Amino acid sequence: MPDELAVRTESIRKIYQSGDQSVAAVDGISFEVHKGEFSAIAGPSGSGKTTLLNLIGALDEVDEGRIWVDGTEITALGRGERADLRKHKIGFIFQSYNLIEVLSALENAEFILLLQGVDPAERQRRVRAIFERIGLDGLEDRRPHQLSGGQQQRVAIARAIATQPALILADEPTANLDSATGAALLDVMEELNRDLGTTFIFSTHDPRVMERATRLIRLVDGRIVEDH
Amino acid sequence: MSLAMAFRLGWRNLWRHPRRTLLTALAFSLGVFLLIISLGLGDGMHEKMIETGVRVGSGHVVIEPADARSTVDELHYLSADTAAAAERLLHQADLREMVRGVAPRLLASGLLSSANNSTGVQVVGAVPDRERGVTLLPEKIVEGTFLEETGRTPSTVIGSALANKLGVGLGSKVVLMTQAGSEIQSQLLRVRGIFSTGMEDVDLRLVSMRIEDLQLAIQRDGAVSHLAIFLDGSERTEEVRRLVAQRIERGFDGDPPSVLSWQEAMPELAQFIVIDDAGNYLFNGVLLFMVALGVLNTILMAVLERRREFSLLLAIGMRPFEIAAMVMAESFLLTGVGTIVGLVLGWSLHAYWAIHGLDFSGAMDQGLSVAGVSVDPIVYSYLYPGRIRWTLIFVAILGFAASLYPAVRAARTAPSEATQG
Ligand SMILES: Nc1ncnc2c1ncn2[C@@H]1O[C@H](COP(=O)(O)OP(=O)(O)OP(=O)(O)O)[C@@H](O)[C@H]1O
Ligand SMILES: [Mg+2]
Repeated sequence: MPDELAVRTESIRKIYQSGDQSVAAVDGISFEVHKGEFSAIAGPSGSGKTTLLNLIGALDEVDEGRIWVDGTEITALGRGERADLRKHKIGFIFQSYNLIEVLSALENAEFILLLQGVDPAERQRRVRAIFERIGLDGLEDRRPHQLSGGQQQRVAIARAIATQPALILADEPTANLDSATGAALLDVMEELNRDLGTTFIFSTHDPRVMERATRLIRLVDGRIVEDH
Repeated sequence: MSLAMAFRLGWRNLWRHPRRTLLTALAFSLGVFLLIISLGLGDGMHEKMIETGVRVGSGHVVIEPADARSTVDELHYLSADTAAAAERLLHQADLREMVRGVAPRLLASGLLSSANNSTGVQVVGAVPDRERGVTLLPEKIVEGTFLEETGRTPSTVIGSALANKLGVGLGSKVVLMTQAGSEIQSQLLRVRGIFSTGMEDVDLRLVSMRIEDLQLAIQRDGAVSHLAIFLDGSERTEEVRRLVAQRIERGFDGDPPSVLSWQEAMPELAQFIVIDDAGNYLFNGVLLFMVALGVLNTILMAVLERRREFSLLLAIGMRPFEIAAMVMAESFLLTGVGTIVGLVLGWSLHAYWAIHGLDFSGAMDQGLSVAGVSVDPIVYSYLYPGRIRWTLIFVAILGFAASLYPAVRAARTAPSEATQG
């Protein structure tokens, strides 16, 4: 796998059993994402966007196929190694409930650095710089419930990029936001992608969000139907 | 994740539901509180019973002839030489520091008669100076003195109930008939003191006189039935018994006397205490078990409503065991706070009752006694050494057990749940 690839998948399949029916949520997907790409995964509800992101993010295991993230074959890793890979190489932004309720914005953002064992001064330095960059300064000590939805998502972004991961996965990061706030969030992501070269893969329903991506992958029934 | 972080998170999580947390912690405090005070009152009552039993009987540790308990119908004595040798051993420095007093006694049974009546008695020949300050009778004299005066007629001290029965008072003459060898000997005695212990058996059956007078009466010059050893409390009984037994074994050729603890000398009392303690343990165990179920419930609820958070933490790279540690820290803090509060309150009340006592006379039948030892209705709380330490260990194990299942549940959350919108 060439160095410049952030992700590569090879014929991956994920099959869910519900009752006596089995659904191939991801049905033989092979694709590559280069470092520095800003890609969107689009598709109707139930098309497999979340499932695909979960597989790439090592949150779930494939039934068939192989996946590499930043040169490591994650489909060959055990539970603990996958946890370590998530901790060091992947940033996550979820649609909602991204933050730990009992921690302040700053503590949430530095949490993974803490898990990595980075010393407190360095954690503070990095996170404060990110907060300033993405317009969160002054909100460091607020608890999640004291932040707006857009601010909460920004804290999640701050947490995801604080560790300088190879890849950030975002599952419908703007779905719970109004369009103006969603657009502002995308501005932040775009800027980080441009200035720091962070690779983003995000899923969305929203045509306005798709427009912002440099690459658009469309899914239907667990298969890629369009990629440009 | 550091342990400090686990505790910080745990602490903050507890305060998400302050009322639930406080109620659970309070229940735990109550359990610990009840445990401490019931141990305090139980130990206090037992120690008092031991104290009484020991002071009216043969001491915390007793040195007696090896065959004293093997044949009941024959009396056995330590010779004057043996008794003196045994006493010398007790004067060694390490023992002297633990021993409060040693009283040589000569026992005999006999018939005590006045002009009006007569009754069977247990006679204790004692050395008054050795009894004073350590045994019960000198303290319980209500009339006269404890064998202090002597005259031409040897002195005796009898119980108030016996005085009533015989119709005698201070200064009265009584006759003691005892067996001396194969003959019956009569000895005229003058009542110079009357005691009242409140123990029916003791007040009616026990008679004391100077040991030399009794030796003379039964024609056993210098003989001693036992050496009663008194300690400052019952805790070091076994230690002293072992030390004395070792010395005696080494210091005597031939037939060394035997050394018994109060438990061996008063098996009924020892048994009562063991059974009473077992009852207390069972009650407290069940109580704390129920409280631990409360903790389990609270932590489990807290865990089940936070699945989302655990899956998030797992998704961003936390290890399952770190999740478990976080939950255990939470539970540890909950039970820890409860334990500290319960301990402080329990200890305070224990300290108060240790000084002022708790009066059970309203709840107790008049003159309750166990194995011939009266139970004082005023109980002074007392805790044997190690009680607090064992309480803490027990409570920690319970808290740990209660948090185990919730911790495992939390650790088993699937990281992919974080993405479910
Ligand atoms: N845990 C599961 N158990 C059973 N079936 C599942 C599970 N998760 C997803 N599926 C099924 O797999 C398919 C793909 O689901 P997925 O959540 O990946 O779609 P999606 O594109 O993210 O949809 P949405 O836009 O609604 O979020 C659907 O048919 C869904 O019902
Ligand atoms: Mg989805």
